[in-house]
Amino acid sequence: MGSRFVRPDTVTLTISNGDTITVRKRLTAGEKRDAYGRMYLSGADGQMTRHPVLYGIHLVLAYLVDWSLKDDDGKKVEIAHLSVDDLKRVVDSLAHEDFSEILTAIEAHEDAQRAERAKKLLDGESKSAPTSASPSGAAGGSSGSAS
Amino acid sequence: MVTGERGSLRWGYRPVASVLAWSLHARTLSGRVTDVDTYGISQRPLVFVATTERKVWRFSVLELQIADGHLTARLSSQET
Repeated sequence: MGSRFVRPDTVTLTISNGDTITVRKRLTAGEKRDAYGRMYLSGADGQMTRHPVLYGIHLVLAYLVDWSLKDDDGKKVEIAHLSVDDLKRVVDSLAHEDFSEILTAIEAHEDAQRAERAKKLLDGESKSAPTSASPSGAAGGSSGSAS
Repeated sequence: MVTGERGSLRWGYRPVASVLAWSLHARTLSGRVTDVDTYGISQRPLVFVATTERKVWRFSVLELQIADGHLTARLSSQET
């Protein structure tokens, strides 16, 4: 089994016009908690619901590390080392449809990562099944020494 | 010698420490260190990143020592 810690790996996604965005492959527990705290609202019944306005921007800010986007002068707009607040100011300057395209790409990435994690967990469970489910051992049928 | 008010040590994209009042002389970085992620700073490779008005400096960290909130690091000669 690998480390339970999240390495800061990134994935580059291609969007329209040959542009790319570089995103976190996985969020750490802390990154996810910070983001989800901004993305979701807690209802009176305790159920979490997506914030109708802020869900998208905070999902993008949680994942976005870099991009290839250029300004009107053809110069790359640098975002790689910005604070979250500074990154938000830049992202908020995008046209709405371009922001939506980035959001859609990141949602697809998150779905793909979630599916991959679920598959790995299932594979791990199926491989460990013979040792974790041992009804005969629990009943004492095969335990003990055979002297 | 190059100096700056604020920089950071990063493991990949992840900031693992802030470096304040830093100076860089003969590939040796010195400065005050805060906001240390003790797990992250134990990982490798680390990069020192400092942003000035003109550019972003990025150097690989070859050796690192932290004592009493003060950092000393040997950096790569080439920017990454």
